[in-house]
Amino acid sequence: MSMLVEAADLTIEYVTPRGRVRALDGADIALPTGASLGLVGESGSGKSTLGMAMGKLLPGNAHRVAGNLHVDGQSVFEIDDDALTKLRRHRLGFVFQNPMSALNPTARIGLQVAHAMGKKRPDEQASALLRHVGLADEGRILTAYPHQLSGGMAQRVVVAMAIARGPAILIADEPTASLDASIRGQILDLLTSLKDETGMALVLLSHELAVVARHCDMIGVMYGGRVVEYGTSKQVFADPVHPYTQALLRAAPGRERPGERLSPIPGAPPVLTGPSAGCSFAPRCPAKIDLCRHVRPLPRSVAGRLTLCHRAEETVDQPAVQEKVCEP
Amino acid sequence: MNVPVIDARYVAVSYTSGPFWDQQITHAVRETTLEIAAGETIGLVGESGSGKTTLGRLFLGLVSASAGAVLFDRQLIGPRHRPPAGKLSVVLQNPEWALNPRLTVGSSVCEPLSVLGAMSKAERYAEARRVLDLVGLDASFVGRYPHELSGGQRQRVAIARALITEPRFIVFDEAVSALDVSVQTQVLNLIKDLQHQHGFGALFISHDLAATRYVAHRMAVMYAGALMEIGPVELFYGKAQHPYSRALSISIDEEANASFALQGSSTEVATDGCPLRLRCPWSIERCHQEKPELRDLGPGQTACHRAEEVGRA
Amino acid sequence: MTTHLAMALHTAYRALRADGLMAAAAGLLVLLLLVGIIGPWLPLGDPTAIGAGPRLAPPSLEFPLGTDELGRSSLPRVIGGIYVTFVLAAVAVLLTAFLGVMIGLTAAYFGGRVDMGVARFADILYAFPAIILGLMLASIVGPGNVAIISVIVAATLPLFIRVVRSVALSLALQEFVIAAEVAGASPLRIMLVHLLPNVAGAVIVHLTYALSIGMLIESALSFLGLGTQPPYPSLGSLLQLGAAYLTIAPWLVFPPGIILSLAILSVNLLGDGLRDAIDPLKGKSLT
Repeated sequence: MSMLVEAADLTIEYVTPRGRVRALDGADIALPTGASLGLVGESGSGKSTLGMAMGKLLPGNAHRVAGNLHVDGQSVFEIDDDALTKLRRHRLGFVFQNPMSALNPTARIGLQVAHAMGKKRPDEQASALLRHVGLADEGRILTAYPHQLSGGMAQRVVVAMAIARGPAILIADEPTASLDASIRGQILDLLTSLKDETGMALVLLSHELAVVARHCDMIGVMYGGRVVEYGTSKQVFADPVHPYTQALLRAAPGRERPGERLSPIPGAPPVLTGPSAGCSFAPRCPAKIDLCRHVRPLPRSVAGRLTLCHRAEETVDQPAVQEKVCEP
Repeated sequence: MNVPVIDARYVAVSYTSGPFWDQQITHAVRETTLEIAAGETIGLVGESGSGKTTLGRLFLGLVSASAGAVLFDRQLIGPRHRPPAGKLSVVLQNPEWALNPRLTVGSSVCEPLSVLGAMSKAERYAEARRVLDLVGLDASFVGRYPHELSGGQRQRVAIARALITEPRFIVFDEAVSALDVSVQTQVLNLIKDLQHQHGFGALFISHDLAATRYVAHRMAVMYAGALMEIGPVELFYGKAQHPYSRALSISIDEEANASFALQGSSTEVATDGCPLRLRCPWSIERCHQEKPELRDLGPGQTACHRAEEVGRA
Repeated sequence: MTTHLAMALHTAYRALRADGLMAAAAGLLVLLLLVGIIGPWLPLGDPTAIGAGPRLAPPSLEFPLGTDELGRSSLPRVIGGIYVTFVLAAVAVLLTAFLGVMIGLTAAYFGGRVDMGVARFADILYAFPAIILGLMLASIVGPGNVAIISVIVAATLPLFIRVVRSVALSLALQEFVIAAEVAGASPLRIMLVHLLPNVAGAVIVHLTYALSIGMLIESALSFLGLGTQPPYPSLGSLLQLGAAYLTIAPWLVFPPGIILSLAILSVNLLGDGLRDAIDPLKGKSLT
């Protein structure tokens, strides 16, 4: 089966006045058609860069240093501008974090939706599209301005615009981060049901592992610009093999028992300025050995998923959430 | 008998806005009564527009109450009755602006002591180094500027600054929301440990239920300016007695009962009966007729007519 | 405060190195300043000596910029003019900056009616064209340097108030200010310790723009005869006096005109460069 999205050793750096910042340090990912992928990572992990790179939506100071990225059969960094425009317009859809800044504040919703569909004026199909994303009262919404909608409604409009031309891939970058907790579930359910209906692929970027596990088939955990663990969500969430994934699950509040003390990951996520000498997680890893500091791990298949860790086989049987003694 | 550090009785905050011929009244906080004891953390959870930030500002004496009173150590506080300097502190959300970008870390941390005016400069800086050590930052940080620090480090400095005057009460308003998960837990543990050591009362405000219940002893949930539920934190690990509290935990607890998921959008707030009734899947006719008041139920209090059933679900 | 100054100078230095045009502008300004300050002390002639040479004589070795209608050597007059124009404008602008900062900070911090009053005052002042103000003030205090300074202050004060107020308004809501309030800091302390240092960058940038406006106003008023009175030269009065002889003695008008234009241009370029250095835009493109 050919892959809809395929990144091989993708390495991207940003040139800033203070020097180079390496956002991706050899990232590999492969997404089949119709599947949903959750990319999980903290700040500096490179997940946004990888997600945005799929449409080559990177700032002017971003440079591809090495590796390749193929989206829908095309090599994103090598095609010409026309082909890139076509790719973005017809094959990709994007949903960003803040719906209010994704919408034009001085244009009515109807006009914006019509433009997204390639038309000049909103028509019956625009209404149908809004109903499709779960908006009732679409007549009022079409004539409204963005600031008259709530965050959740605005985000649904953004989703509608993203799927207007039936893209092959929908990329959502923290789509619920600026929305209230009580409606996050609604928006994420909307995205997954759209994916099921139309057979388009979904790439969901988030910093919350639990959320991604619930809504995606595949999970890629990113750290230090690389995908350190990649497998089905059931595998990665329930039984992670990479020490970072395990530590992340142990550290995040939500799954602890009342009164239980969480063990955080010491230190802070790295900011790379060049290729990392060994494994970028080594300074914070409880399982590190000398090898980890000097030799970059290569992707290996362990327990049915791909991971970047020299000691992956040994960590397979460790429980995801360690039992801890309750503190008084 | 222990005097509560903060004693808020029937406080409400409303604003009028708009031109004088079409005045709109916004009830940011509706009649609320809440007590915080020394050494206790109250976790206050709510979404945007719930009034939780306003309540926090009320407890700091930064905002006037339109009704009711807030007492700090039995003294009335408010914008015109400022509490004694240094007894209250605040740690806010945005690490980028939590510290004055033009001051060194040392100057920022010493600031509350400078305001009190009692110590010499050398004594103040010695205190600054002491509290920086408490939050896990070594003395070299004193000379650095905020832009040289990471978000987590800046937040620690903000906490150090909040502690330096040995306050009796600290408000944490979305203090960890902008931090990475791996750093968030470090700061949450720090807050728990510091409270254990120093015994201040705390109000931890957040939209994140998971982080809040980890630090709190008691929890309060707000919606549209009113308290929906208050109770010991154990309740909020799956045994809450209000549909809204249950709805908030759906995204964190796998075993949560999905029948509580709210419908509609946050702009649909009912003005008669229960404010949540337009969105709550458990609402019945009584919710429209009669506004539920906060009442005792088990170890906590809840404002829902069907709370008994909710507690069992 | 000295560390702030050092940091500001360092930023300016880095900006100068990066932008060639700005460096050229700064260089020109420094040159003019030197000429204006040191020039009068050099033996280049007496600016007020009537009859030192023939009337309206073209440039020569003895009189490098020619002579004016009273036989005075033009070169020392131009140099004197640079000094007067610069100094007057600079003094006025610094005074305005001081007033503008105090008023703007107070308005931003206290908000409410105080802020509204100040904002409306600034708007009204801003609406008056500088020339009208100039005529009014000159008629009250009499023509001369005091009038020039007053007009420049009146014309540039709204600019400073607006800038300071807008920056301070957004700052006043920020976390560190709230933390200071909770800690019990007095309004004066908050304005001086927290707001002022953060406003300084914007103020410095606008100082340069105001300086160019000030020079222009001085020239315009002097041109109208309301500014520097004879025999003391300023670039504007030189323009006025020389304009009458444009066709027969163009060497009287061009040097002050060109120098004035270059000075204003350099000040503006410097201001642009400083603004960019303090607040760089991060360019994003879709390619």
